[in-house]
Amino acid sequence: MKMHGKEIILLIAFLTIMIIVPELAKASPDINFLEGSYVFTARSPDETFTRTSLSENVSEAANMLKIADDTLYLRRDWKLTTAAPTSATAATISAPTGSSTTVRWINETAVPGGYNWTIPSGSYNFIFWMRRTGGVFDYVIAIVTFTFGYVKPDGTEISIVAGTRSISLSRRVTQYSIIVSGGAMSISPGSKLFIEVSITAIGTAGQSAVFYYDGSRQSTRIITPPISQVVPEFPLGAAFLPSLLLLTYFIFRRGLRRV
Amino acid sequence: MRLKFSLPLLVAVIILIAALVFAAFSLLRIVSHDMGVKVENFCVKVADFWAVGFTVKSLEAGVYRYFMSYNSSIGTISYSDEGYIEPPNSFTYAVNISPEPNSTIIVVNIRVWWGEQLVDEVNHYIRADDG
Repeated sequence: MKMHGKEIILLIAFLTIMIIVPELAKASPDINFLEGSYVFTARSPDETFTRTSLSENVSEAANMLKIADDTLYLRRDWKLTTAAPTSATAATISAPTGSSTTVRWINETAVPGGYNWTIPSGSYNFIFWMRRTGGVFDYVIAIVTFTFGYVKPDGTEISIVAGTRSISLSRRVTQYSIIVSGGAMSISPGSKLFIEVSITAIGTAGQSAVFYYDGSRQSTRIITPPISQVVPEFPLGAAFLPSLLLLTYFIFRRGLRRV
Repeated sequence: MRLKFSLPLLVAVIILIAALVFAAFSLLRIVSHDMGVKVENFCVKVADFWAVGFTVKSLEAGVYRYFMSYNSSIGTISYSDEGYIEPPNSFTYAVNISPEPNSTIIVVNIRVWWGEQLVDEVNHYIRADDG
C-alpha cells in the first residue's frame, strides 16, 4: 500500500489546521461591550498589558476590556435597571413577623442574539435598607436572602449567586449588605437578568420588617463584576474533523486497492 | 491481502495513533475527574463578618439543592433552595455571619444535593473571638 506525497501533505495540513484554527478563533478581536467604562491598552511586545480577569470564554487576546463593576438598581414595577432611582420617597415591602415574603425584579434588556454576556469571577454586593416597626421593647429579626441569576428564553431559571444574612433590625432605616463571591459566568442570548429577594421576619407579634428600594436615599442595588457583551467563539476546529476523517478513510481505501 | 507499508503511510499511522492516545487520555481524565459534581467550600472573613458557603459546578447540567443552618441567639436559622446549572457556569451560595461578642461557637452546617444524592456536607465553626 502506497501513499502519495500529496496525500500525506494534505493529511498533515488538515491536522495542523485543526490545531491552529481554534487558536486563531480565540485570538479574534471581535468583541463588543455593554454600556460602562472601558480601558484600551495596546498589546505590548512582551505581552505585559493591563487587563482584568475575564472568563475563559472571552478571548485571551482581547485587548479592550470592561473594567468597571456594573450596578443594577431595584426599581418600581419590579424592574431591574442600570438607571439610579430619582424619587425622594422609596418604595417599601412589609414582611410581618412569622411570615416570609419573596419578590423578584427582572431586567427588561435581554442578551441580544449573536452575543453572550460574560461575567468574570468576583464579588456580588447586594446593598439594601431596612427597619422594623414597633416600640423600644419590640424586636424583629429579618432573615434576608437574595438570589441573582438569569432567565433563559424557555423560562429556565439559572442562579449565579445567592446570599443570606440575618439582621436584628433597628427602628431607624439602616443600610445593610450581603457579599458573595461568584465564579465566571457566560449568559446565552435571549436571557434576562433577575434578582429575587426573600425576607423572613421573626419577633414581636404584630410587628414587621420593612424593606426599602427605589429611593434616591435608599437606592437598593446589586453591584456585580463587569458584565461584557462578546461574540461567542465558534468551534472552527470541529468543522474540520469530518473532513479529516473522510480524508483518512479515502487514503486507506485507495492504498488497499493498490495492493 | 498483503499490506505494503511506505514511509509516508507509516508517518500518517503514527500521527493517527498518537491522536487516538491523546483522545483516550482526555476521555479518561474527563471520566475520572470532571464528570462528577464538584463542591468547593469556603469560610472567609470579610471586613467584620464571615462569608461561609460553597460553589457547586459540574460538566453536566442538572439540579442541585442545598440546605444551610446555623445557631444564633434567637435559635437555629436555616435556609434551603434548589436551582439548575449548566456547564461551564457554577452557582455560589454564601451566608454572611457576624458573631456577637461572648457568644457561643457558631456551627454552620451546609449540605448540597445533586439530584437526589447528597454530594457534600460540611460543618464550619466560627468563634466570636475571631469575629
